[in-house]
Amino acid sequence: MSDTARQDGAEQRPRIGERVDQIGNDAQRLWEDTRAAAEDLGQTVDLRGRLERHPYGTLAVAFGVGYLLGGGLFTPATARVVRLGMKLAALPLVKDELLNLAEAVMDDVVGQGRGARVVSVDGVAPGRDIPPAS
Amino acid sequence: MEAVPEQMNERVRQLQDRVAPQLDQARRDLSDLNHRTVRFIRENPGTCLIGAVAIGYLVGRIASR
Repeated sequence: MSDTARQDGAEQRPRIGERVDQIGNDAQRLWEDTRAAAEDLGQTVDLRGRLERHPYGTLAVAFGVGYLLGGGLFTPATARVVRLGMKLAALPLVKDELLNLAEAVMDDVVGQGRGARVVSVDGVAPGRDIPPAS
Repeated sequence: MEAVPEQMNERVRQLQDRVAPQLDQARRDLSDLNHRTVRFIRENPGTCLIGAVAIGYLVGRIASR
């Protein structure tokens, strides 16, 4: 080995050391950033808190995530579940409408019944018109 | 003729007396089960979450076939 090559090697050794230190520092910084990001994400999502407040709901969401990961989104089973969910969601509206309709019919029937009773009090048989006053 | 409604009333009362404690017991059991399940979920959040995701994944795989 020549003298110049030896000198170059001696100069490069500290450079390599610096590089290794730099890489080590970068790796440490990356690790710290990743950990901070994971902590931020954990605080934002607050899985533990959610699980404390809504245990069943959180598990249902986890189940849904797994279902999506399993490729179950565009399947007949999902379509069936969505249809069932829509029907169940529409049920209260339909129930209210039916109740209103039934109330209206009942009011109508009761109103007619009262009218017939008034007629019968006047001495006219129920279901017949009141004779005009002469 | 009035004996029939009275008999029916009596039968309904007997049935109610017989069924009411069982219903009460079932309600207590269900409530206890719910408390235990929620406690288990709160004590083992990671296990439950990973388990739920895994079960969902399996169901999704089965559904996609």
